[in-house]
Amino acid sequence: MDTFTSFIGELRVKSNQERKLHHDKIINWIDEYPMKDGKRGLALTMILPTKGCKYAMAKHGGCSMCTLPMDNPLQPTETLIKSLPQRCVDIFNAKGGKEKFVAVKFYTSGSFLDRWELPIEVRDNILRTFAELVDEITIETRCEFVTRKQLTSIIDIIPPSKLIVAIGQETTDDEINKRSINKGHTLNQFKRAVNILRTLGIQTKGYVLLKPIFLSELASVEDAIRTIETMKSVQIQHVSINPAYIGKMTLMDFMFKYREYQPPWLWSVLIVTKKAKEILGSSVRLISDPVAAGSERGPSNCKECNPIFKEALKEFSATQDVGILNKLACDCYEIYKSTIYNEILSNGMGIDSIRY
Amino acid sequence: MDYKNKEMTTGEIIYEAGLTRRLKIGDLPLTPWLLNTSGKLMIGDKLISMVVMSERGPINLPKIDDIVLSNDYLEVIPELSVLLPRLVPNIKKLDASIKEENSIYLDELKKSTLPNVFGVVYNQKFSHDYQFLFELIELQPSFIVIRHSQISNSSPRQFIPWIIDLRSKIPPNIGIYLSGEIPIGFFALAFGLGIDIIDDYAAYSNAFRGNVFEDGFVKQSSRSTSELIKLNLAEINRDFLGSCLSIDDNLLWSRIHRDMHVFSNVASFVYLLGRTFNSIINYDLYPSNNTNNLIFTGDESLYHPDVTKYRKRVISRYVLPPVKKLIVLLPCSAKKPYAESKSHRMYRKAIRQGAGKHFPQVSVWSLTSPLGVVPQELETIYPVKYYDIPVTGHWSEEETQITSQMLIDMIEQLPLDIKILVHVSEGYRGMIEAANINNRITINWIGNEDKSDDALIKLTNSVEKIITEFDTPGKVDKEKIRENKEIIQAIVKYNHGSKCFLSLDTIKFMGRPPRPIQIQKDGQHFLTWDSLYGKVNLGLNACLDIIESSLNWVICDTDDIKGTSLFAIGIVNASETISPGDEVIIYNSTKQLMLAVGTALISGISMNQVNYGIAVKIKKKNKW
Repeated sequence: MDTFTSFIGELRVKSNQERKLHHDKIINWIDEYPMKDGKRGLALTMILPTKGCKYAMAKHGGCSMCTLPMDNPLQPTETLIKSLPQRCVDIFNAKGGKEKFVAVKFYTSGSFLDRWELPIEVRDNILRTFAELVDEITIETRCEFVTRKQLTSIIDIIPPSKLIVAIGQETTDDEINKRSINKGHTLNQFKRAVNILRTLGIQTKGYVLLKPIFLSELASVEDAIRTIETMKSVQIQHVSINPAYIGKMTLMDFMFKYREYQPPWLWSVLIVTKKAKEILGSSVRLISDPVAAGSERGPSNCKECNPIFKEALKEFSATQDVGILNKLACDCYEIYKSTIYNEILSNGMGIDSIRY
Repeated sequence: MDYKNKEMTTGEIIYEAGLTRRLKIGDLPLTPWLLNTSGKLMIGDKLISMVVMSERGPINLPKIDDIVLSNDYLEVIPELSVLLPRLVPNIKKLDASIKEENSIYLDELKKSTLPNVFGVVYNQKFSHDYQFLFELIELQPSFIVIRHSQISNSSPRQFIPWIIDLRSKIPPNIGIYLSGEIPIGFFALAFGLGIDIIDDYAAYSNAFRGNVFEDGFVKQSSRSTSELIKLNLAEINRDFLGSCLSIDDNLLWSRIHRDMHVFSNVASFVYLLGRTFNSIINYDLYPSNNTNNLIFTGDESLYHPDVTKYRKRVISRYVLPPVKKLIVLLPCSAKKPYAESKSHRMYRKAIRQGAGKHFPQVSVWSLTSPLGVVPQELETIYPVKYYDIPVTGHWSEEETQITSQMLIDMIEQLPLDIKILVHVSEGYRGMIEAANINNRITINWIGNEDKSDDALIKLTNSVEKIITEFDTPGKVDKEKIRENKEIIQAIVKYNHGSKCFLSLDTIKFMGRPPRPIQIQKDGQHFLTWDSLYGKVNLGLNACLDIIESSLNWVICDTDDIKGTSLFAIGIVNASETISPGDEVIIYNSTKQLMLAVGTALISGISMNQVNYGIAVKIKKKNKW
């Protein structure tokens, strides 16, 4: 295997074949949401069944850890796409409506601002409708779709302060980005996008990936902390720490199966979260609510403290109260410290999985 | 920078036995090391710093929480560091980027002022050819960090050739640190395979899985994590200490043989080492002159390196004295040397009765497991005098096969007119029949009562019958003197090679056991013979007798040896068949002058590879 990217590309082709072709559901869930004033509210998250990420569909296969397009239909019909705004409103109302939710989040397993996934009128329809219903709307996009022209037309529909644009920068270290993640964003592109959003008064949110492939546990902790420092310096308003989990049919999955990769410990998540709060202060809202926490394929500690850590991180994300995190303790911290060496000495590759 | 001129950064071999060594690195304790991994990487109370060699120079790893990865430094890399490559491959160009990362690593190492004790990392996953390893070795690191998957779960079929090949490429004075999980029960094996440094990670990883190390076993336990960690660490330290002591007492393989009865993968390693990978092990690296007792309890002892080494040496170096015409194969005895046992005294008497004046023409070989065949002249040497086995009268298929093969190898070298008589019980039938190629052996089955009058009469009669065919022997020494000379000749051949022969015609024996016997020739000291422990130390005159034929030669770069030690740095070339403990003859660089005789402390292979430390203890110097 000379290049991993051609390999990711092959994996993507295979995973496309396995996609749930006829699936057109809007997957949704409710979680707690920290509001600007420090209070906690509820947010409804909806995943729109678009074609998925264009970048992931490219020959190089996209990001090494991304499995999201697996859940999307490969060829959604025009009717399906056009029906999305109404169906979203129906779900919103069915789940409790504007009395219940202060915010909504729209994910597309790609970029909300990519017209290839969501035509302008559908996109505008959704934003226009929900601008009336909630205080904040979060959408996700890759940097390249953040253009002044595109965003200027959006803020005609929705007040900029209500919109949060989340960008999966993952790391601000271009070398790590290029070497381990294959994200295709550079720090400069990220800065440019954040700059556009800031000058238009739109809130920005940065995603930080904790532990991409090829990095040891400690190197990934260090990289996440550095990334958060950089995000603070470009004046971002929201940060979400996303510890890696093993997505199906990804390079990460492949390495995991060959015991070349282990998802991060919840201890690392905790260390990064505490450090991040210290760096970011109270003005930046910090979310650290790991996907698949405590599971075999997600960030985890020992059996005893997995549920406690998971709950505490969720609670912290809703309240921003770092006191919750300071209370966390478990004997498995000693084990965590020992594994740190094991991974450093092998550069994170070829580790003996502690879980077997 | 001239690496040769910097302070000694590699280790000094203090002890060598096969792939196992005790190295002195800096002012640290002798290897093996058990590193502590909790929050700090420690050897004893010393922190091992982690330093990343990036293209921006050495980078301090951050202190995170109470995880301290490095002594703080600004420009100088701290003493006792592991220097890590950055080694993050590029997803787009895997092979090319790894090459690039490796060359950055090497460049940075070469540019930096390296401390006196440091380790480098060699990750084979990232480097398929050995060129990179050789370049790392050029830097003379104290140790090299190697990665492999869990030794407890890995396939011995892959692990054994891999580690033996690697160990042969890494000079013996550079330690190997096998990082990762090595649970209890595998320490002795790891040291036996040439690994010098391990860590206590297994205590933690097993606690994580709910495993407890207890009393030499690994068990599932419902104890709390902190309790498991505590117990596992205690047991790991105990096993480590025990393994180190075993090295000092030359009982490492006994310990491995004990561990194999608890850990099935240790057993796989032992059997594969003995059966399948026997040919890639260099038995010349194992010491030849120990004095420790060995306890052999099972078939695995057939593959004990000291036993295998004995068999190989006897087959290649034992020569039947020319006067001998008949070999009597006898069972071994529990008492060592066999000749002093009740049964062997009785056999001797019976043989003497049958042989009469032909007695000097009879040689006795004992059949034993796990050693195989023991000619009577070698009954006092290590390991023949020093082992114990359970006596059952039964031979396993494996014992039968190995002993009969050794017998075949030895009989094949005998002149065709040598007769062989076997006087053993039915239990030996399989082995004798397998070895009786061309029907050279006259077989005397003696039932189960080998010391019964009937059996002994049968022995006398058989000897008598065979011996009548022989001519009367010419003039021979008195029995005791003749036999002593035969023993000395055989031991010298065993030590120095089959072609060595001392002229002992005019020697005089001085003193009596238990003290070593001084042997004089023409009024001068010739050699010392410890008759109880099977050791012969040659004087310089005796060395002259074997100077053309000894395999144990060391060539050094001086014409005049001073002091009592020959250092490795002074050695130009040494015979690679020299084992630690062998008597060696030291020559000047042209091999024209014999300078001294001494005892090798390390193997000839190591003498040729290292530049530090004492290689030979000088016993006698030639005065000009």
